[in-house]
Amino acid sequence: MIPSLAVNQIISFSTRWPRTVVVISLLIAALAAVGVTRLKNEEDLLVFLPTNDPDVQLFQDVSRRFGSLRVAIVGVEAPAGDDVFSPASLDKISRATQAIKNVRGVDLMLSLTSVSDIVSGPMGAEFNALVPTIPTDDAGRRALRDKVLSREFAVGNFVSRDGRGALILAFLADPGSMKQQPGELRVEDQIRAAAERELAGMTIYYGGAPFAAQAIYKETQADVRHLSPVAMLVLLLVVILAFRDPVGVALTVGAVAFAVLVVLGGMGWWGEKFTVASSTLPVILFASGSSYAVHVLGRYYLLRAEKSPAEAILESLRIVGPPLAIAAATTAVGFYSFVTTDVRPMRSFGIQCGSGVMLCWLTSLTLVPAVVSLFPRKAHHEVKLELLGNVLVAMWHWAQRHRRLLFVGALALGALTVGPMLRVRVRMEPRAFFRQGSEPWLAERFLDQHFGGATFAQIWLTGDFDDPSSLRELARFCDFARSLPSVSQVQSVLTPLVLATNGMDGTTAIPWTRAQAANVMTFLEGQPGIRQLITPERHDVLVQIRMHGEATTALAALEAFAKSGLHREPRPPTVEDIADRLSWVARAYGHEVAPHELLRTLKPLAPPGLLDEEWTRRRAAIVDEYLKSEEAPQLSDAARAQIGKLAVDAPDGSPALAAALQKAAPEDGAQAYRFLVTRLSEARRHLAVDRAVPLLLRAAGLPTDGPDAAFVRAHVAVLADDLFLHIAPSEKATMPMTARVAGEPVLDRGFSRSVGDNQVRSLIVTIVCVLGLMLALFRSLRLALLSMWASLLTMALIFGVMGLMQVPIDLGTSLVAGIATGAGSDFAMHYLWYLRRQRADEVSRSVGPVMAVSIFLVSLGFWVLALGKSPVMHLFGTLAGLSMFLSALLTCLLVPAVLNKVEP
Amino acid sequence: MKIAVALVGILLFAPSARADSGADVLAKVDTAMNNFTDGEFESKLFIREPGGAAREIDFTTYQKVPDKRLVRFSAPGDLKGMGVLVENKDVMYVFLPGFQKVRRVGTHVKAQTFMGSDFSYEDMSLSRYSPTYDAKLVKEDANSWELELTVKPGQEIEYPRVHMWVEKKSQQPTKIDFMDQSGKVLKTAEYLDYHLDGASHYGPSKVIVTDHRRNDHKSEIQFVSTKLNQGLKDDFFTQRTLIRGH
Repeated sequence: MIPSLAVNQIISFSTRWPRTVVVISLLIAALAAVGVTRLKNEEDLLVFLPTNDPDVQLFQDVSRRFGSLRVAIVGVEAPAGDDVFSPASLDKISRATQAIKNVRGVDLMLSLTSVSDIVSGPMGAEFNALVPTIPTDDAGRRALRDKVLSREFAVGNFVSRDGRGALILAFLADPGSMKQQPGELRVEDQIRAAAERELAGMTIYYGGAPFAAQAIYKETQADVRHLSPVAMLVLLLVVILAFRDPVGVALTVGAVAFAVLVVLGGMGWWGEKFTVASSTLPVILFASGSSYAVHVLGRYYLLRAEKSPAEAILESLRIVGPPLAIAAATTAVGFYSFVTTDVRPMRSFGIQCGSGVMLCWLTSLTLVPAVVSLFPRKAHHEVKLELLGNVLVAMWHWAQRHRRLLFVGALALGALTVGPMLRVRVRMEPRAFFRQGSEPWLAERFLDQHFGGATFAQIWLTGDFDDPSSLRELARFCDFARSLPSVSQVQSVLTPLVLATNGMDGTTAIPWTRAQAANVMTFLEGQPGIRQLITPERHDVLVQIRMHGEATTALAALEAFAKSGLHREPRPPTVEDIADRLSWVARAYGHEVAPHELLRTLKPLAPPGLLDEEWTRRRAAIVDEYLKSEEAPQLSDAARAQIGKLAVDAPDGSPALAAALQKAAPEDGAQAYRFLVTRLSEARRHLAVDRAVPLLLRAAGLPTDGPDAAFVRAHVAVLADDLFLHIAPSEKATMPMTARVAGEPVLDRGFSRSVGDNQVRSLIVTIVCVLGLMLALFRSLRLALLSMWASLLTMALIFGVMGLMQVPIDLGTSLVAGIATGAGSDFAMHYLWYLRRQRADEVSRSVGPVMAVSIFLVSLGFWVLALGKSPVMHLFGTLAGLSMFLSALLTCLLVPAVLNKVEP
Repeated sequence: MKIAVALVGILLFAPSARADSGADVLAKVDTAMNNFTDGEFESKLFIREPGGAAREIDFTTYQKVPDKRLVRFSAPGDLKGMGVLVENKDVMYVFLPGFQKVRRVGTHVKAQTFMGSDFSYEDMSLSRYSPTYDAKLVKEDANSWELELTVKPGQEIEYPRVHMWVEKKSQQPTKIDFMDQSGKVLKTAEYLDYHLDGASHYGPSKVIVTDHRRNDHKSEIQFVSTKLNQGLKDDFFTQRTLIRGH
């Protein structure tokens, strides 16, 4: 029936050589203790990402390519009634920026006081600090505030729109590439120390994945530190009440403690890291593994009334051994089923817990018999459990009298849960791990309130981003993204590119030749933050999309556009393209206008003609300015006058102009011709854009005053420039463009999918294995199914209620099904096992209370986890404990309802 | 009387027996570094990305002591024709061939890294230390001096403290640690293989800069050829020269 030979041999050895068993156990414990000192912590929560999910792999690819994953965010809020532009606040932010920049492990820093501003002036491109000096008076402060809040790249990224909040972004180096020096604090802790030191007096928030992971880890660790003693205390109290014998109590607690020590020591020797999940191991083993010693000792104390110590322990093991073996196996199977998940730390956790449970069982066969052989205990009856026994007898008879009701009721209940169960969602969002009021929760709220959201989607585009048409296709995608609901900000390399182009050329435009794009990009390459937006080869670009609220609709739209809306072979924009983009810009500002309506305004627009007065004035000034500049060749006054007239009369260039320049400056003439004609062409385009912008703003219903007016105007100017721009046919993309949507919402989706799949896999494996074990035990399909019915119905009820109450499944709750199916079948299995040998009343009175106490222990042990602050732990503990309790209750009702007679 | 003679003797001879002070050594360094009138330096800059191949940028620097520099890039293709003109420590121009314009660039950019390397624009233009730093001699042996530099009051510079090892033979730095105010080393520059590249000027074959804040990211400049005292005139260092040939 059961492979009992090995078990019998173990039992025999333990009782015949108890001292040897104790010594061996002590040696193993000592070895394990050494192993524990070798344990290393794994604080990075990203190791819990499933490795095979394509969305997760994409997220990791993006991080590897752009280094955008590990961004520690320090948020600051000015005191009430103040803003971040006060001298004191700016000074603090500046000093904090510098201090954090110098932390080893910080690759890059971006903040209000470190970021550059590119301004085009009469002297040329001024690359200055956005905050060059800290203002000393109110006028300076107001001027700085107005300037900063007029910079689209700054608002929403480094300063809030209301000026009360600021962000310091620290991009961290890959931890795998850095060797932490002895005694050196973790990067996150050093950043925190620097922030606390320099930003004293301001409200500080710590956001971003590195701080969130650290906070979750610390909170979970704190939970476990507080809860493990509570779990042990609970176990102690119950066992003391049950046995009232110090050796018995010590053995029960010690058996579990031994198993915990050996598992942790084994992890240390094996090189397995100690994760957030494995930190719950002690509590889970106290809950799941304590019952085996309780069963053995409980039977032993009873038998001691009639038998000698040696006979009592042997008989006790003979009676309880087989069902305990199956109980341990089914519980362990529930944990071992985690090996089917695609999350490596969870696979390890499953093996750790399963092995811990088996060790607890093994200890009940070895160390427990050995110790009571060495120190025989007196008999005592479990007096207080008589009442419980009577209740169980009453329940048995009531259930037998109402069998039809219970049977039909159970079937109906099961059927009713199907619909709600199917509605249960899996939701794996990092914020699900944040306790309300915790540090990451506060940071999220700060970002939501002041910066338009804390969720970032990303678009990873590949293409030729020196090509001007590809850059415009990128702009098209960005405009589309901005128009979507729940999108509050879109950031790409286009912003610094346009700024730098403006600085170099005085034009608010995207570069219109490959040479310009390449030149500007190499110049920008030294700027902080660029590497996170575009790779040095300029074949990969990352667009960051900030979202607030529910992101599903916007995500679907982005994916649809990436799939079928993107022009894979970029081409110069048409007037229809510009109409589409303008329509999207309008939608982003809450105004719907159809592209065909905008075409009525766009199509007639044209650059100024030769007789246009303003254009005539401008070109004369440009020609004069150029010919007098240091860039121009040295010319005589006569030559300068002649060339000037020729240039003004033919701004598009002429053979006469070229000849005159060549004659006047043989060495530099050809170059000067190109320079002059280019300047005139660009100036004409600028004038056309200046005239078009107000018309387009009016046609699209866009704001012309207010806080967004400057941003909108600049944006529309970029669009308008494309109307008058001629991109040469020779400017062609060298590769097609593709786009993929990544970022947090996609990661959450992949993670959720993985959790859901893992749960199904784990549950299937558990059900199959437990059914197999029950079949091996009972050699009866009917009894095997009956032993599982209560636990399966319990699962259906729990998940049905979750579906009704819209409580989503997360990583923790996805494990409840497997654990509860395995452990929850134990009660029924024990019941049926003893019913084969004794009458129902006898079983209810003798074995029933012990089983009830052990179920109570298990449930209580899991409920201890529900006392934790971590939301995940809270829900997991609650559901796991509830499932144990419900399984036992349903067993007491369903087994008698179904069973007439049990064959031995 | 004898005491007076002894005192006079000490006063007369003491200067020659007196060890160099930090300021003296630093002045020697500045002199040695700029011990030419003008020069043309052909160089290759290698920027080593973590886990990736090194990027190579070829450029030629024309320099006229003390402050004028003109840098012209020749490779790779997207940099070809670009140029930077430094007229003095406060005035810098850049020429981008794609725009066919020369633009003046503001001072803030000088502290930023140069094209993703570990050199800043300030590094590329710094030719003297004495105007910016006070120096203290901390150690001396037969072959080298070791100096501690601290920034002079009123000066704004990224590295307020510097530790410099100077080779006596060339009187130029072999290693420089750039530090923050607390003394934490932020960046290290190593100058390797000094050799005579002029009548009395020593130049390194290689300079390697390691940025410890960026996970020890490295950049390296190799000096391919050096021509000193060619008689470059001031009017060479103009915007016209910057754009000539494009």
